[in-house]
Amino acid sequence: MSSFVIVGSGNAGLGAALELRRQGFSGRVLLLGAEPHLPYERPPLSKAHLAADGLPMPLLQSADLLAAQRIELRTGCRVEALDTTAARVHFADGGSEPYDQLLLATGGRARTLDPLAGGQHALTLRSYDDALALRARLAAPPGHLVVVGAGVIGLEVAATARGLGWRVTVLEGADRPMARMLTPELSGFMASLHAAAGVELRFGVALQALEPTADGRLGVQSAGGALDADLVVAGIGMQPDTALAAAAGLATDGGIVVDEFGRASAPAVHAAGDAASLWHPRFNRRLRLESWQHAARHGAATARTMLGRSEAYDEVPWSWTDQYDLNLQVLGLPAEADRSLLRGSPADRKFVALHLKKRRLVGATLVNLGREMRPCKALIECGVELDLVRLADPAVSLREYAAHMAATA
Amino acid sequence: MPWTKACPADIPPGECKGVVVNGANLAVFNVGGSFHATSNICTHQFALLSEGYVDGDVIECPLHQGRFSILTGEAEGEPVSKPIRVFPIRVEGGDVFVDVEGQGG
Repeated sequence: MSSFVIVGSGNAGLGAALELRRQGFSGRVLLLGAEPHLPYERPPLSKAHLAADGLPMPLLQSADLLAAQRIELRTGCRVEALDTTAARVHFADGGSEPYDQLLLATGGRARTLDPLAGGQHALTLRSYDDALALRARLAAPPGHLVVVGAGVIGLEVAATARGLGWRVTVLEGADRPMARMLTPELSGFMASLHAAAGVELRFGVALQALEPTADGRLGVQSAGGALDADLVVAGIGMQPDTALAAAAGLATDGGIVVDEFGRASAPAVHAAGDAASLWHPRFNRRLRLESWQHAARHGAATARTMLGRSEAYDEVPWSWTDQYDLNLQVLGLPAEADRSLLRGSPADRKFVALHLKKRRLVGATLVNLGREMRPCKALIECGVELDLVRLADPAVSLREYAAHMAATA
Repeated sequence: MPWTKACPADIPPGECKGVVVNGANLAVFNVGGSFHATSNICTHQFALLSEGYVDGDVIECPLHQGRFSILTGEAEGEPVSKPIRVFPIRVEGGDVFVDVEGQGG
């Protein structure tokens, strides 16, 4: 009987396991998770789970459903080594399992402030246990929270903490928030959103040290001065878990290198999700994507490759963030654009920014207008030069224009 | 039978409208000429489905693109798994009536 082993039981690993069964694979599916929990999702951890106690863990699947699908889940199980010649994974206790096909969906860890002096005093947020620890601190009488990093996690924590009455300062090294995901104009919009909520944002900050003070607070030292914090949270990105792959001699470049089918550089070995550095045929470049949807879809697509039913994974990247009462979605790659067109009203916090490269849609940022996601996605997928006059005309609905372009393609 | 008037039956095909009937948030849809009513609150997170994308007989939540059948309320794809309620509906005299205590589908 074929044995497929999946290292990592997050959204990508679970997505792959479920897809294997959906595709009719009847062999062994071994799903190995390092954390002691059933597979769970991360988005609620920076929002609802920081704002209230006693919420159930946000599980992706119940143990019963996994058992019914004959997916063998082992939690608290860390794979120590991978032998691609013998096609085996090895555990710390000396045990091992063979594989016919292997998927590395190892995700990563939250980056810490180390080796910054006092860096260990900052909390990070990636796992469910991180969320419990941070929630315990935020449940205390509100004080001054300093968030290091104005990316999605940092800003979601800032928004949640503001909602709990904390004073919040966000320190960012770059000159704008969410610089990886957003165009400069949209960064400006997000900065205004947080400023309006009473968050102090500081850019170009070079953090130097965290020093506990005599009265039990934390002194946050940077080139521009010092702040006294009751709590410091670092949201400075994630470090992909590539150690297993690298030690096994697989190609890595910050992520585990895979082609557009999810295949890594050794036979029968694949990678998907946060840890994978993939060739993306739609953008003709190598990307590493960190989003819920990518993990689920890439895991599923790579499962199909493992079954010999390869299709290139060319999904338009899509992610979202909820901050205060704002839902912001990013489609495609706005950073590739040479111009942007605005539809709607930033003042009303309801608009779509269309990001074009040589008149082709390469991305879109949607603010409180999730219904426009599908037409924007269709326009990115059609890949042709668009009529900028019609795109900018509020009397022309994106849905109709996308349908028109699909019909004439 | 507590039929309550929800809205005029002037919703164009392929569109929907959010209404509050007896305190309940409902979404009224016109799917190819026939009217349907569901709960308007996504079961994943608080969002008004009437602000989402109508795709044939499926409504896609505007927040995280979870999909539900407008006809049966069933959750059709990640990240949603819990169904939404559907309600009995009737069109009379140019208006849409909904039975907020009934179970449709």
